[in-house]
Amino acid sequence: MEIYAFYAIAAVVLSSAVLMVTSRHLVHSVVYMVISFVAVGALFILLEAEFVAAVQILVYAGGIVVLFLFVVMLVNVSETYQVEFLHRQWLPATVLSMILAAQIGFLLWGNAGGLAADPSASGSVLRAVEGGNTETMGMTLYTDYLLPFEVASVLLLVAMIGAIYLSRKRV
Amino acid sequence: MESIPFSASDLAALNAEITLTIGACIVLVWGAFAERNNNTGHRFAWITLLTVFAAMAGVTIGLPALMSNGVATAFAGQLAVDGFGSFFSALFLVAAALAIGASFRFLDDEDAHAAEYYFFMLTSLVGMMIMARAADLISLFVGLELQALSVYVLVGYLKSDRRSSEAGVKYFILGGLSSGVFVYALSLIYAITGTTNIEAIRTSLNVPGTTDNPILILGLILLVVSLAFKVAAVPFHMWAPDAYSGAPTPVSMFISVASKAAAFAMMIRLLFVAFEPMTASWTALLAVLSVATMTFGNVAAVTQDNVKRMFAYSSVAHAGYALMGIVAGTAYGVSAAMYYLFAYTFMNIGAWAMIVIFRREGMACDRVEDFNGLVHRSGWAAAAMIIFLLSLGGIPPTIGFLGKWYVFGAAVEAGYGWLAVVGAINAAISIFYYLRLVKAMFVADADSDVTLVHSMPLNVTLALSAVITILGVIWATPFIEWVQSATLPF
Repeated sequence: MEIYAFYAIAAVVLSSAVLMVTSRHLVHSVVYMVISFVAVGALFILLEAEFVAAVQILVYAGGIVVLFLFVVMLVNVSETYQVEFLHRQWLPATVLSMILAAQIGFLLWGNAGGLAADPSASGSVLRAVEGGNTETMGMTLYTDYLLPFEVASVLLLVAMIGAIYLSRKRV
Repeated sequence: MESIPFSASDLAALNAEITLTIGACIVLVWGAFAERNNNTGHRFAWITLLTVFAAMAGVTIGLPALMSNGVATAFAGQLAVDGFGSFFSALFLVAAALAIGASFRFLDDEDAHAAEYYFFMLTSLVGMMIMARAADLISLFVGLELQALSVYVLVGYLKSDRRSSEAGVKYFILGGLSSGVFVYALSLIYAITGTTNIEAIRTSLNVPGTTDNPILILGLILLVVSLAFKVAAVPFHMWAPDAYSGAPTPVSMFISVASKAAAFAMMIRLLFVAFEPMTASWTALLAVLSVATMTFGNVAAVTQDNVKRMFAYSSVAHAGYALMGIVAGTAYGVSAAMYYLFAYTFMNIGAWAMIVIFRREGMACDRVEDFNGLVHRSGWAAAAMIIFLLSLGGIPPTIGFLGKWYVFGAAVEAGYGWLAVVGAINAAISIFYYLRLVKAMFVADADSDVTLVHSMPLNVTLALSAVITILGVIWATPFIEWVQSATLPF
């Protein structure tokens, strides 16, 4: 049963990703991107990674897409409307895609590349924890990874103040 | 839920970073409400200096006390409590204190906001100290980014100066790229070892057969490339001359010393602890980088007419000398590289602080001719500059000479005699362009358009740097013993 759901969702992810790249209208592209992101979120739910699924929907389908729509509204759409599908960057893009594909192929067929066997990867460990992996994640974040979490909060403050300082006009 | 996830000793281990963060927040909030005039600017500089001194006390008194109680890590193994981290933390704090001395008057003259400037300086210090002390890749990366983001803003701080803005943008883009490469390398290493703990990575790599894994080798190569970016080693140095010459001069002096030392600290911990089982692989890579860095940095510096660009290339070359100690791959080599960075801190800050003194028609100026006839206008300044230049060139009796002696000795001892020969040839090339400044100061006539802008804090920076550059030779033993005890964990 799960495997059919996977194929159905994967088909949505891939087809909407292809349509996002090929569609000529910027707003259509963004809408296809939302569909792709939401479907990836569904894949995470299928893996019982509900925290990652929630982050995927909130951050990507929510925040990032709103940012994209802002940019689409700010730039003059009629000028970018007629962009060539195969623009100057097609060669480097192809090369990079090939490298990525080779890496994925290597991982899938090349004896998994000797990846470390992580028992939690199967999900069995996380599922056993009461309250699911969101709670596990929260506990880990606030105990083992407390220091990087706190440093990251200073980092975000610096990023915010830096952006405000640099974009503010002369005072 | 059960209990607080950290103990008092965790907080004590982090005392300096906490002090700096609190100081940064005070400066920021006060700056938002304060009336803006010169006096408030100096007020923030004093608060920052006080914060740096408090953090220094925490590093030099608090941390050793903790270590003698047997505390080795804090925050669930995220932070190492060791002499190595304390040495580098102290180095960053000294560099910051000296750079603040050069910033007092500079910010007034450039009519720049003081509060945010000192805020970013303090947050970058927090990032650097986390970089030097992190025992886990995640903390290490977050610290690196905290340092980097703060420094990008500092480099582009003078918004009305096009060179500063351009330098900030270039540094931001290339720095972001290199951080991307760095985190990609970390992800590959995690994929193979299954851990982000630096000590545990070593254990995992000690399993026979692991080190042949092509993904791991790719990870190591990308790691060395991104670290080379961060220490500005040739051929990954292209951001450094633009960033150092475009940045406000006190920022150039700070980042060419402290950011570079932080990147070296990170490099040493990653290579000597996590990748200790693969020492033979990375020493070969770094030997090539070291030769390229020394040679290109010095040759490029010869052709510069702009003093800031000259010192920017010279600082690239100095990274090459420090790399030599790491190439040696021994604890002795690490202590040599650390001593070199210690010596470089004072002589380089002193040399950059001299550039802050010169102004032409109210504007900062940085051409070789601006040094013309300095000896007739200020004998003390000329004498200090000669001390710094001799030290940068590696001529006795200065700590620069001791530093070079130490790294060359480490290279020879590890069987890299040819590398020491290349280093000696490079030292000879570097004397050529340092002497150009000496010649300008003594032989040429002074240009009346150039004014010397002294201030008490700047003079203190110059005097302290000059005194340590000379006295560091006479009382060399305590410093060398300190460096050697700080290398003990390796």
